[in-house]
Amino acid sequence: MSQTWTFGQKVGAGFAVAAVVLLIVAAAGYQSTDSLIENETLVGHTYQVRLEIAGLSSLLKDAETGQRGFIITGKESFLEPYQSALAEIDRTFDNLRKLTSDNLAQQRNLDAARPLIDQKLAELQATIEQRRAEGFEPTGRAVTAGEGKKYMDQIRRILADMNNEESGLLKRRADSAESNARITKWVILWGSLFGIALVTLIGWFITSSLSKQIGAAVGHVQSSSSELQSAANQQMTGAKEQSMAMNEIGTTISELLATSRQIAESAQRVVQIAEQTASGSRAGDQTMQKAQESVAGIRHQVDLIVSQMLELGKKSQQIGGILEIINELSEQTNILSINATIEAAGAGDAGKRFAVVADEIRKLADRVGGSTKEIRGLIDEIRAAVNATVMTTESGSKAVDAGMRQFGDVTASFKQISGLVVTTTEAAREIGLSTKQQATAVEQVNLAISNVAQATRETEASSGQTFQTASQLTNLSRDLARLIQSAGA
Amino acid sequence: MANEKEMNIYSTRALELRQAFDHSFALAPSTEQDDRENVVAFSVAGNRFAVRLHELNGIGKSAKIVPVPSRTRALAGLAGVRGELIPVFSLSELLDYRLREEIHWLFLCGEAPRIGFGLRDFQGCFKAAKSAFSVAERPAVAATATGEAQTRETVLIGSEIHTVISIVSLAQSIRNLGERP
Repeated sequence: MSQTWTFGQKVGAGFAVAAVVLLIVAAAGYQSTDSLIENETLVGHTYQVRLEIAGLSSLLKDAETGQRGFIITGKESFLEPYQSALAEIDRTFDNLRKLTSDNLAQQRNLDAARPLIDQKLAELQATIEQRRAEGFEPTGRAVTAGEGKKYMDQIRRILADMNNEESGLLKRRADSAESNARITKWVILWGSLFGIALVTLIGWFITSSLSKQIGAAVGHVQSSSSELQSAANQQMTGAKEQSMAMNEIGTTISELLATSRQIAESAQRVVQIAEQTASGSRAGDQTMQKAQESVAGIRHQVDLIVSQMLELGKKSQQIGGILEIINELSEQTNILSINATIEAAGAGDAGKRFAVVADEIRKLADRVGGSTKEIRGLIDEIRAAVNATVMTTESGSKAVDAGMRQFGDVTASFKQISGLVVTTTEAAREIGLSTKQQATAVEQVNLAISNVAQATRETEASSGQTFQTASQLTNLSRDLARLIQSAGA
Repeated sequence: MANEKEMNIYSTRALELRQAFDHSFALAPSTEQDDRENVVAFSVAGNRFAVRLHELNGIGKSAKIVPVPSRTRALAGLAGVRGELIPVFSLSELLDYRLREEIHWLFLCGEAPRIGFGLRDFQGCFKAAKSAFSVAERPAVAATATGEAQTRETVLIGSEIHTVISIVSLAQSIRNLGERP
C-alpha cells in the first residue's frame, strides 16, 4: 500500500509515527513527573503533619514545663510557656485535623487525643490554680499522684501512633516515588531509544522509498525533458520550414494576385472576343444554310449520275448478251465450216472450191470469235468501270448524305455555338467580376498569410525558448538524478 | 482520247476484215498444190492433242447422251445425231486418264454405224504444214484403254506442241473389242 502513498503521505506518516512515539514518551514522563510531584507534595504534607504532631507534642510539653516551673517556683513568669502553649495548642490541633482530613485513622487518633489533651490542659489548669491557692505542698502531692502523667503518656502514645502512621505513609510514598522515578527513567530511556530507532527506521524507509520514487520521477522528468527538447527542436525546425513555406506562399499569393488581375483583364478581352465570335457565328450560320442548299443540289446531281450509270450498266449487260449470241453464231459458223471442209474433202475434186469457201468462212468465224473475245473483254471492262463508278457514286451519294447530315449537325452546332457564345459572354463577365472579387480575397489572404508568417516566426522564437528551457530542465533533472544516486549510495 | 484511238483501230480492223474477205473471193482459185493439212486441236485432262481432220466425218456440239450398261468403261452412252443413234466414248477414258470429263463436243468417225468420241475442250481447226509434224522419242500416250500402243507423232500448232492421235485406230480398236467373244 505504501507503494501508492504520495511523498507528503509518507513524510506525514513518518512524522506522525515519530510524534506518537514522542507523545508516548512525553506522556509517560509527564505522568511520572506528575506522580513524583504529587508524591513530593504528599511527602511534604506528611512532613507537615509530622511537624504539626511534633509541634503539638512540644506545646503540650511547654505547657507542662510552665506548670512545673510555676508549681516549683510559684512565680508567674514560669507560666509564660504554659500561656504560649495554650494559645497554640488548639490552632495546631485544628491544623492537624485539617491536614489529616483525608486520613480516617489519623482522624480517629485525633478524636482520641482531643479529650486527653483537654483533660491534660484541665489538670494543668487545676494544678496551677491549686498552687496559687494552696501552695506548693498540696500541689506537689496532687502532681505526684500522676494524673497528669497518665494523660500525658496517653497523648504521647497517640501522637506516636500518628507519627508512625505518617512515617508509614512517608515510606510508602517514598517507595512509590522511587517506583515512579524508575518507571519514568525506563520509559524515557527505552522510549527514547525506541523512538530514535523508529525514527531512524522511518527515516531510512522514507529516504529509500522517496529516493526510488523521486528517482523514478526524475527519470521520467529527464526522459520527458529530453522528449520535450526533441519535440521543441522538431517544432523549431517545423516552425522554420513553416516560416519558409509561409514566405513562399506569400510570394505565390502575390503572383496569384498579379495573375488574378491579368485574368480579370483577359476576361474583359474574352468578353469582347466572345461578342465578335457571336457575330461571326451568326454569319457562319447563314453561310452554312447556303452551303446546305448547295449540297442538296449536289446530292440531286449525284442521284442522276447513279441512275445514268445504272442504266449504262444495264445497256452494257444487254450488249454482253448480244455478244454472246454473236459468239455462239461465230462458234457454230466455225463448226459448220469445219464440217463443210470435211464434206468438201469427201467430195473429192468437186469439193475443192467449196473447201476454199469453207476455209474462208472458218477464218472469218475465227476472227469474229477473236473479235467477240476482245469485245467481251471491253464489255467486261466497261461493266467493271460502270460498277466501280456506281459504287463510287453511291459512296459519293452516301458521303453527300453524310455531308448533309454533318452540315445539319454543323448548322445545329453553329446555333448551339451562338447560344454558347452568349453564355460564354455572360460567363466571361461573371469571371471578370469573380476574378476582381478573387483579387480582393487574395489580398486579404495575403494579409492573413503575412500575419501567419509573423505568428510562425514568433512560434519559432518560442520553440527556441522552449528548447532552451527543455535543455535546462534536462540538465536539472540530470543533476537531481546524480544527487539522488549519491544520496542513495 | 484513248477511247477515240481504240475506236479508230477497231474501224480499221473491220475494214481490213472486209477487204480480206472480198479479196479472197476476188482472186482466182489457186492452182498451186497446198501441202498443209487440216488438224483439229483439243485437250484432255490439260494435255494437248490433235487429230487429222480427214479422219473425222463430223464435229458437233454434244447432244444428250443416254448412259447404257456396258463392260466398256469408256462408253459414255448413246446419242442421237441427225437421226442416227451413235455410241459415244469418252476420250479421257480411252486415253487412260482414268477420269471422265464432261462431254461438250463430239468427234464423229467411220462409216455407218459411226462412232462418237466425246470431249470437253475443243480448240479449233488449224492448217499445219508437213514440217510441223514430227516423231517423238517416247510415245506421249503409252497405252490406251484398248491396251494398244498409239502414236509418237506430234504437231506444232502456233507455238504449242500437240500429240497427234489416230481416231481411226481408236475406232478400229473399239470395233475389235466389240468383236471379241
